[in-house]
Amino acid sequence: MTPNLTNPYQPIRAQVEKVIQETPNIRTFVLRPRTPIVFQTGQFIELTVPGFGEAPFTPSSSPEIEEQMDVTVMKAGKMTAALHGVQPGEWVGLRGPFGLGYPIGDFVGKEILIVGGGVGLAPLRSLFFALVHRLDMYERIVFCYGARTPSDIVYRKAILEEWPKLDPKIVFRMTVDKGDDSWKGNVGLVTTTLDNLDVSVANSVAVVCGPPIMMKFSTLKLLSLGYQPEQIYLSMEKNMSCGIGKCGHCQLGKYYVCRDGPVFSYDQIKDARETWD
Amino acid sequence: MVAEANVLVIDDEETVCRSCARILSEKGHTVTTALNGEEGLRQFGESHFDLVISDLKMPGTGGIGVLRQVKERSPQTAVIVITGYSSVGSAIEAMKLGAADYIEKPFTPDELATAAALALERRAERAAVALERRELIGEKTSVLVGRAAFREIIEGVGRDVYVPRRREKGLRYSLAGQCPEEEVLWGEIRPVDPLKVFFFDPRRRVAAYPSAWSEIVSGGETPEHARVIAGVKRCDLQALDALDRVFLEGDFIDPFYKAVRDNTLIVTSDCSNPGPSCSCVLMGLSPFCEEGFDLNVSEVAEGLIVEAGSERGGKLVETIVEGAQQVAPSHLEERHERRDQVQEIVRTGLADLQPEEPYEELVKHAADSPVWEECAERCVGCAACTQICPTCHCFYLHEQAQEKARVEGRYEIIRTWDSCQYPAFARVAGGANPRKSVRERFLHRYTDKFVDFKEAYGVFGCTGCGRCVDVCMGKIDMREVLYKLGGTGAARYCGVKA
Repeated sequence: MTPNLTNPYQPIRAQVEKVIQETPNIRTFVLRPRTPIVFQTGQFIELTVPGFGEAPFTPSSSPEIEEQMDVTVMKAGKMTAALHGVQPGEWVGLRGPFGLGYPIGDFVGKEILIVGGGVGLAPLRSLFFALVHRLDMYERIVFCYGARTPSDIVYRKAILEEWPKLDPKIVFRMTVDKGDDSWKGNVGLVTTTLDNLDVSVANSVAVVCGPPIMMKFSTLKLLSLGYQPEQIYLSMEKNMSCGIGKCGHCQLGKYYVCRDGPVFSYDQIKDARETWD
Repeated sequence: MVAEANVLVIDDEETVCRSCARILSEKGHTVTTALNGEEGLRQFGESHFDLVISDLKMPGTGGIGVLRQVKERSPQTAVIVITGYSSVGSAIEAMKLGAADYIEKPFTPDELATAAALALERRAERAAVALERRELIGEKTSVLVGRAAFREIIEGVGRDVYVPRRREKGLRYSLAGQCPEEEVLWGEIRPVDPLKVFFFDPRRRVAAYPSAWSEIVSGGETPEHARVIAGVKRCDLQALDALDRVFLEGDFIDPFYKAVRDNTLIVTSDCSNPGPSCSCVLMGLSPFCEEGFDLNVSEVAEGLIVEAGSERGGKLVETIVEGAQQVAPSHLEERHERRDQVQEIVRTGLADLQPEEPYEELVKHAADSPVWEECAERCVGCAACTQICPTCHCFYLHEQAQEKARVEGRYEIIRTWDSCQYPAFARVAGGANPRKSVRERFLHRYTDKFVDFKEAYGVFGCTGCGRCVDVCMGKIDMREVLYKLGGTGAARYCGVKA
């Protein structure tokens, strides 16, 4: 890759076109960058709220769409609270894309097991769109997703109604930690969706994204099912600030998550001391 | 493939000499043997050798002595040491002194042949690089000049010329225009300030929006004048190499660092008076520079030996006409002696802190050692160690939070030095923090310096400059921590009771 000689710290302007309330504390922002941002699914961008600073997010939209970008954000701190206050028509800043995304070229011909938890569904939605775009190239997609309660399910209508009907090659397995009167599906942690899988492990890859504790136990479960560390891909959540491997915040052993990740095979990071912290 | 070479084998066991000679002759090399160090060095003085293979443990002059003398007389000659006692310690010492490799007795013919081939190959590569550099900067690589004449030369480069100046608490880089001649000290020790302050500002604006990048560049922030930083010591030159790897390598180049780096001439100088916290030799460095500079200055009785190490430096040397003398062998000998002496002073001062294992191995395998907990007890988390460290490069990006900016709709992104020693450094928005305790942050710093930085960038994140030792409020000495990590009997270090 040729080095990028422009200023990597300089954001470009992006208009907020639409704000979608996904759950009580999660919103999707549909952004239109001043110049299109071409990204690979799983790569991330730094999003700036004027006056509040920036934070890293993986776009949740299809990488095939260049002029628009969706970013799904849970309200967690000061910056995300400010972002939740941004209205359609206002603008934010974008830098990126940064890092290495999902190596979907290596997924060709395989059964892809996707395991998501909570707002971790955001990058997986982008991955899902990228896979569906060339569904003919993949053997099958098994999509497992768990949310805390039915009202915490992100992209609710899509994941419950639309996506499962897209193609017979796509299977969904859903669960919530705690049900309510309206919920007729499974109740249990997301790892329970991995029980009785009819996946041919040898010809499969697993992609996991969610809170650290969920990623840890999903990974352990996958290993017990016979997945090899190099067949498991994880999206690491670290404090990514500069995005270009220089500021040191997201260091994970010899890796900088922003530069060498955020997607890692478990094989790469299984011996790092701070993988699950 | 490396063509036939002249090889000298020194071993007090005749059978070893004979079998080495046989194995290497079969590979087409011309082999001379000697049964002791003295004899070997005599042979070495009489003809040219590309490779010397020497036993470490011999009566009289041992392998280390042979290695030292060979490297002094002919730095290009590759040396492989043979260790019969599996004494990793001496092998490490040998590698630090410039040995190309070591092999353990007993060894197979293949092991010997491979080690020899590798050493000769590397030697050939280095010779090619050296030749290229000589061609690049012309024949006239060094001259002997007076101090005043040299100052005139570097001050002629531009407005921003910094020289090492005597100050109350050590050396500081000072603008040459404000520094009286008698206060300029070419030798001594590294300046108090880490070199990074010139290339990586403690705080600077790196972006503004919604306006674009072009505005920042034309804002006059890229230096227009060539800058000279003189009096840089080996530890800091090595640190600059580390920073270059961070800021100038990879898919994204830091444009601010690059602009200043491209515009700055580095003049290094030999140390003459290392301090009590110095430990360059433990990091495999010497207290003087042999490459990587634009110019290097060595003080000798008659003046300064000024050596060019780059095309830019070479051009500058060429402009030295008045009062310049040719460097005579006696000058080089004097420099050599001075350098040797200083190196010996550093080494002697560190005799009690020499680890038995390489730092990398020590730290890699000691994550669970109680030493961390014990030593971290004295850490107050002030981060002085990382701020003053010449290789520490961490920073954070934040908004210039001003009400005025909000009203005007023009925002700035500021880059400020940060430190892994601050509690929230690695914390994520969700609250998770892999380094909540002082112990974890303390350990992280060592792991980064001696293991992870090396794996990520190819060099250690420590150059032995000793500044972190000087500034620590808890009197924590990195060298002592590492020594303690290495073994027993070191309880007096780190102030921890046995």
